[in-house]
Amino acid sequence: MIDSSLGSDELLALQRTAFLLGPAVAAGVLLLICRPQPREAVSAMVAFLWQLPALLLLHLLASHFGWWSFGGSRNTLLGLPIDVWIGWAIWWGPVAVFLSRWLSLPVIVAASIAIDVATMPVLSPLVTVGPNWLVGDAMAMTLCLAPGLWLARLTRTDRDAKRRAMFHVLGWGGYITLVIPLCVFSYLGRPLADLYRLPATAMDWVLVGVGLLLLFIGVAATAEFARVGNGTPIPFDPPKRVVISGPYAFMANPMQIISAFFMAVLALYARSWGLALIALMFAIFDTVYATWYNRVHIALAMPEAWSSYRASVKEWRLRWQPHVPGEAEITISPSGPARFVWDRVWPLLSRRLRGRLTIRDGSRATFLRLTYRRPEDGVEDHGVMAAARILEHGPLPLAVLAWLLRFPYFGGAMQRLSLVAILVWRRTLQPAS
Amino acid sequence: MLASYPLRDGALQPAWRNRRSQILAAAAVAAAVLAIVLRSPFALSEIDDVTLRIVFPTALAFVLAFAPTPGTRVGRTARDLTVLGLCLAVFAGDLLPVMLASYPLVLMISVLIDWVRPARGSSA
Repeated sequence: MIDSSLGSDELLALQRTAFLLGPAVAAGVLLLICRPQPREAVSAMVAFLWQLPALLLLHLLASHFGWWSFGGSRNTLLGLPIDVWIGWAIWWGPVAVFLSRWLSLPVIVAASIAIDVATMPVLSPLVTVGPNWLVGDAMAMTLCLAPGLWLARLTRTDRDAKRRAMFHVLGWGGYITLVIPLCVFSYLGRPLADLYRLPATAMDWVLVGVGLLLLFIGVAATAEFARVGNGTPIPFDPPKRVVISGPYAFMANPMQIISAFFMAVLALYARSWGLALIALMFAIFDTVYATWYNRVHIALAMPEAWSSYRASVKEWRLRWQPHVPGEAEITISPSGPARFVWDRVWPLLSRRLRGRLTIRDGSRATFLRLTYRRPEDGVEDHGVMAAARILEHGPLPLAVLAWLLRFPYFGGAMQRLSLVAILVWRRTLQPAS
Repeated sequence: MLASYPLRDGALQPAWRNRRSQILAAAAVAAAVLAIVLRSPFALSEIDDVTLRIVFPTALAFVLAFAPTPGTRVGRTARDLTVLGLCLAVFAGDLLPVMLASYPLVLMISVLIDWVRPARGSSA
């Protein structure tokens, strides 16, 4: 029983302390008990990193829908106590990940729901729940805990790089569009409306366009890491080979450039010196530390591939034409919709493409879609994705179009749509031809 | 090398017996004690503030001090500077977020130190 002589402020302070130190101590104890392998430690780290933006977004939703609110005004971010935020991220990050050695993901989620149901209504003055707080709790499990644990499991077992990369895109997107700007604006006491507003001038629209283009290229680069390199942008969970295709055929550090420039764009959009400082810090990190990291780690792990690549593609220097060292093999059907398009486009396109391309006709009995192979560089794609790979042999604008065609989910939809077109053609037009 | 790249093989073991780690951890604890003394007396209602600004950074510094020794000289320098930065952070007050935002400078300094120091073997 809590001492009734404690004032509300004192009880609140003790609760906040417990919500930070409790998870921190639990994580430390589990770390000593588990003695994790490095990959398991990385999985705990990525779960923690997932929780910070996810919990902040959850808090914004909770505030908007009145699911719950937090007491206290000191050390808060838009009403979210920073100590509770960090403690919560440790609790649902490293603590939950280490516990997953003994408990399955559904059991951890069920136990977390049970703990919330039992404790949240009696956590006053720290937490005041609203009438629909259980909806918020379900959202917390869906948005924060379950994805974090899923990401951690995929990372620990080194499976499904594409899905891991998708989580990192969402997570990093949360940092650069939510966590970092909110922290900067909250610290400087500036209204959020200076950043989160509709464009008002032509310059605003230009900045929005540039920002979206940067994000687009960043996602394309991350997808390339996953698709070709079977890894992620996280330095401790990197690709298994030197990725030289996609945006990496044009610059050596697209994601780092994009993070720094995107933050600079945000700074210009919001007219914020604070965000400009963050952009500068990103640039310093990318220029000095990330360069050193690549030199020491990647260059030692894959010396020949790395030195050959870096001799042609530089950091912070965008190429107009791609670096495509390996020979590409294109196989195309002698008839059909792909052939129809090919016969009209290839004569115009081929003059603008770089690299060695070997084209051969293949019997439709042995394959269904246009095929692009570059075995030396770990690239193989079919259908629309293969067409996009061919465009990537062209100058930067063609390559950007290619990244759009291969963009996660959009590219998949295009692939399915074109397959439907082929099947329709085969059933309707083919007998007549 | 690629098999374990970029991670090492084997479980993570705290470096309890490492002299450098012990010194760094002691520095973190000493900084925390000094920061609490400088802040004293404080009311119970401020315990969360003390925890967030002093105890938690110290705990981070302590854990980092005893973390497995990084495999590169830059990594070791960055670890040492980070622990020392956390020792300073307990005195930073409202400048703590600025220190956090400036963390890439610590990493940059680690690399620069490696560049200017005479090489004793490989950097890696």
